[in-house]
Amino acid sequence: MSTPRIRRYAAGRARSLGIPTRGTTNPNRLRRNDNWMLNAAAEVLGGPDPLVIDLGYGAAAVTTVELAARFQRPFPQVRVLGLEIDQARVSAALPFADPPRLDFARGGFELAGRRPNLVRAMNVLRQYDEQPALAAWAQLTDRLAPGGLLIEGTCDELGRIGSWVTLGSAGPISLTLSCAVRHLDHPRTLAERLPKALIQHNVSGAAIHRFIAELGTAWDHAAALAVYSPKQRWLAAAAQVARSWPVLDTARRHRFGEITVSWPAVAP
Amino acid sequence: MSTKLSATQHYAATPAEVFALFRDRAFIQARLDASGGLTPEIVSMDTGEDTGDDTGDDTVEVVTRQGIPASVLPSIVSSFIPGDPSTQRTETWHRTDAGYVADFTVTIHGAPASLKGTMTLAAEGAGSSLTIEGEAHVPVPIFGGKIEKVIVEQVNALFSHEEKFTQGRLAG
Repeated sequence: MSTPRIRRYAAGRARSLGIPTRGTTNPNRLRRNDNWMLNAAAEVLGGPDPLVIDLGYGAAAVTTVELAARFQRPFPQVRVLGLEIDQARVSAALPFADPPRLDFARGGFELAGRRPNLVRAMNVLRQYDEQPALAAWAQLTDRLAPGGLLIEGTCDELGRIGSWVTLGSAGPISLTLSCAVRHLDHPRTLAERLPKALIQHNVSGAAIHRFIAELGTAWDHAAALAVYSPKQRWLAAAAQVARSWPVLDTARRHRFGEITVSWPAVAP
Repeated sequence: MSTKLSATQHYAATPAEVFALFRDRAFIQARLDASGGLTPEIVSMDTGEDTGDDTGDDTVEVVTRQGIPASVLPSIVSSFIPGDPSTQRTETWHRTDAGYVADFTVTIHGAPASLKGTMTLAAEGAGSSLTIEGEAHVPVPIFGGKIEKVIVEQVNALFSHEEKFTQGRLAG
């Protein structure tokens, strides 16, 4: 059986690695991911001259502009660089650049030769097959600055349901599920938006399937709390799951409709 | 980032009497057996030769190893360390003017986590106290601190167990 190769597009002298995404994006689509990063990534952005790369921002640069705006106040020293493999998208984004705070350039998995402290790649790898997506993880984490992080995941068009894996240079660390609980019908819906590394493993017997199923059961058991608010119901479900799973976050983050679990516990 | 560990133990015996236990292989083996780990063993134990110069018999380097069943570990820790982790603990004791001091380290086979610190055995009234100061370090980004906290809790429980064991031995 041959291993699928990542298709590489030569781009003149500077070769960008990857294939163009569909490019679909929406204002505020990545707000949940931005907010999570702002909370979790403080330790990687504390050094001098920290660089954040938003990889594959899509046909419109709006999510990168929002990311830079959200990072501006708590981390005024952070520089945000949006990378796109498609030159037309880079050209379209450049009018919104505000260097050095926010800039755009052409680039793919080679990260345009930069060594960022934080890379956000949302809704990029879901358009790849699983093996090339895992190869991209390795390519990206190899290029992180020491102690840097890669946040790779996916979300729905309105940004109400999403998930992402956090990786360091040594590999994956955690999986975060995130949802707007007042729009959530049931935790099983989160399975529709799992990262590429997991989505095809969400079958009976697999750890990720068990995790989502137990979160769903806990959600069912907490039904009575829905009269207070869906948030209270989610908090109770997350607390219940944390009794038997290595949940890394607490009610402080669960209240935003998140739950973060240790990667080895849900890995395929 | 790292998380601090601090504990003080009290004994109704002089530092020299307590230290005599710490350099007694049978005591160390019994304490290890009583700690409940998997396959506890003394890897090496070097007690200083009695050179007659008043310091030679006051050193000991003891290396012990024991496994921890994954089933008793908090899932946050066990999820990052596959299988039943094997821990190795090294204590290097020497005499000082005030009593006895040791550097100690605990490493976990196959995991980057570490615990390092010092132990100070000194006179306290008619008895003695053992002060343990250490730092746990787990280089897992974002969540390392949380794992360190759990490890420190576990190690504190182990030290407290050892304190009771030593007190029992001293009481005869």
